[in-house]
Amino acid sequence: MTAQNVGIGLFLVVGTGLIMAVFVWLAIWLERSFKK
Amino acid sequence: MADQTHAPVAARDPKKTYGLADLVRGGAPGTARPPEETMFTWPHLVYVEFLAMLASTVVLIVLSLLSGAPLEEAASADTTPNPMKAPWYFLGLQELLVFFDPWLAGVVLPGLIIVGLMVIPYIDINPKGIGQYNYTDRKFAVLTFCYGLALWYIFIVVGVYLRGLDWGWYWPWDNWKLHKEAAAVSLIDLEIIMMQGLGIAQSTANLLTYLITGAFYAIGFTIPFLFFRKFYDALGFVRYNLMMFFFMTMMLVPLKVMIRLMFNIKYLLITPWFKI
Repeated sequence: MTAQNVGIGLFLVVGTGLIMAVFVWLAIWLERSFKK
Repeated sequence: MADQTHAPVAARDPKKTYGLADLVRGGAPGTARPPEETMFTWPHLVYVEFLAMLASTVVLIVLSLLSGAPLEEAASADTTPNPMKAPWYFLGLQELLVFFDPWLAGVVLPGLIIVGLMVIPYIDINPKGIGQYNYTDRKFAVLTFCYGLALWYIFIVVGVYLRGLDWGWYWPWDNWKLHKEAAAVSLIDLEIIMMQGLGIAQSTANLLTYLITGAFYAIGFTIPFLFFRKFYDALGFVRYNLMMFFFMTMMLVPLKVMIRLMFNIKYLLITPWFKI
């Protein structure tokens, strides 16, 4: 496993996590905005 | 949120024809709120949706005026572009072609995504959060969906920004005009690794890869059954197995991608019919 391999793996994990965090944040924000 | 009760919404008249919704065991879907606390979809919701549609159209028109989308020169068989990239919204699928057989990446996996989305209403019988944006009561459902959506986009990001000449992996700071050595990455099948590492015959190693893939699904199906029995009981046998099949397949795709990109393993499982 080279540095390139580790870098790609990290990029994919962190990237997926960040994109997912945006969607989850949107879900939470929508719930709060629409709650009476 | 108000208590969800399963009071029948209509009298069960044997002379009346019921829709499919009424045949589902466990009560009718709907809200527990009394009629005076609800409102009609039309005009209240559809009106707002129509306005939102108009606003999106305006935004798209402005964007298309501001941002150019020029055509490239006429296609020529003599000079095919390298890399050949699909439109950005298809690059996620194109990226999958690196890792799977074309009919898997181009037909089966997109098909499973569409079928998987279509069965959600039949699998998901949890009455919580119907008719409202709800994260608190539907954490597993929302997180799973967001994860799937994130997978879709991370492959697009990789395809758009990180794939260069010969579909090689190029970081933004790499020289994008330089061909990476073809032999820089030598990929090897899992069964070959096991054959050499364990000193066994290739047919035995091949059998082991079947067992590993089977174990992946078996463990995935068993863990929620053992430790989240309420989950299984609520869904029932058929819904549970359907849901776990889609869930585990969704987990298998990035796992396979990571194993290839991190450990240079080409295929986890080689069968006469397909390779994953």
